[in-house]
Amino acid sequence: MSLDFENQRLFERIEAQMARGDLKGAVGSLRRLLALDPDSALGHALLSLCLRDLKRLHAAEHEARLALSLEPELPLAHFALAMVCHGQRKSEEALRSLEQALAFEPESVVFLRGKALLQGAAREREAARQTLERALSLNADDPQTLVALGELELERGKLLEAGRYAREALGLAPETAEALVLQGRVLLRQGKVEEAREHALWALRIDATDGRALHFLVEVKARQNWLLGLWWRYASFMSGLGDGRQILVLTLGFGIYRLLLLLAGDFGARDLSQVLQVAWLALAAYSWVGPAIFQRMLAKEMKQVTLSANY
Amino acid sequence: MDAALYRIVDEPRPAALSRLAVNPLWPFFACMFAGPWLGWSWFAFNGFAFGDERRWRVLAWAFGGAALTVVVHYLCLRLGVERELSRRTLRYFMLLPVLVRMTMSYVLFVEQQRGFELYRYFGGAVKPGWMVVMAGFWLAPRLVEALPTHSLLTFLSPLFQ
Repeated sequence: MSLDFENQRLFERIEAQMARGDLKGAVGSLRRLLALDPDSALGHALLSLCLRDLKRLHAAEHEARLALSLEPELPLAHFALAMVCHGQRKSEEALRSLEQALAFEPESVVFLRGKALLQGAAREREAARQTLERALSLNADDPQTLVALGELELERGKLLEAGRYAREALGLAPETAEALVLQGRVLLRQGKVEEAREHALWALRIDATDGRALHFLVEVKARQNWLLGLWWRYASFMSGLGDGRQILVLTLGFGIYRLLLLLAGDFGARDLSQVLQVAWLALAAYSWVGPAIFQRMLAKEMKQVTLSANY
Repeated sequence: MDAALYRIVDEPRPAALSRLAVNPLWPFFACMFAGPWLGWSWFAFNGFAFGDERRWRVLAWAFGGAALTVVVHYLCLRLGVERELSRRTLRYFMLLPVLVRMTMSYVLFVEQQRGFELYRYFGGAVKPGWMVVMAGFWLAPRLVEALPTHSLLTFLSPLFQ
């Protein structure tokens, strides 16, 4: 088998894995590809995108810059760097890199969707909507652009419009996990938890490795169980903060706890002091066992997923 | 990890000590129950054990954290004595070195957690660490008592709290 043929086959597999959100699988294939061809700028750029979605930002940045050093005019490398910078909250560099990617390929629907993502993050929702409308005008049959528009509407609290975009996307491609997840999210916001769960399971039936569907199923489970929901919200909140702010919040929490203990001691509130200590211990124990219980519940739920014949 | 595969920059490189690797939660518990002397040195050791990409950074944080804790503790005490603060006020004042210690512990935990997750993802073996935490909990007060008074070593006492 020639190297080119092998590379081509790997690229096809990577494309399929990335499209269905199987990032870990895609990283495995990319590592194989880059072992065969370490100077593949495209391989490094794709690896950067996967690592970015897996929250391995340091490695993602390394790969994006490596791709750019190998091929400075590769639009996907600029796009990858933009997405990494977005993850690192470097919004100016992200926008600059994205503009460079768009300068090479102004009609790329993927890059336009990326630009809309950056605009959405900067709370420029109207600009984001316009960018997505432009992407849609370039390719009206792209379910992912429709899903992105739906997600934008969902953020704005417009459930009916979000639902309409989800249905349109499903009309174009009935087995699109992102569209099913969007439809499920709309149902969840409408309080239809059981129907939302069905959508999550449906998306997982199409592809049991789809990260977005798994994430959504966890969201639904968190809604069904308030104790786990609390952990989920706490974990989501913390991971959204980034390392520095996360440490600040944790230190602040600990500082308040110690201060309250001292105050309780000084004002002779021994009961309050005991309550505080028990609560702190319970919080520590809960943060320790919470993830394990959550994993177990998810595994139990996953047993109910009957895989599609096409999977 | 398959040697025939491309190596990603943040992937751990397990060393011979990898059989002694633990979840960073245990060194963190050691910081809380036994003190930074055990917790921080354990974090540093653990980084080398599972071949963390950030092991030198963790080591630098551990040493820097120890120095900072000792300095802040000493300055707070000195200020308290110079200003003749009451015992009650001094207790509030001494919260500052406690917060420094805790911040350092969180920094080390967060620094190591991601590398550890990758190590686990690649099938790295992990040892339970609760026995070390228990032993540290028992040992810490005895070590403080054993520190000779009126010597430079007493400056290290905040690392045993």
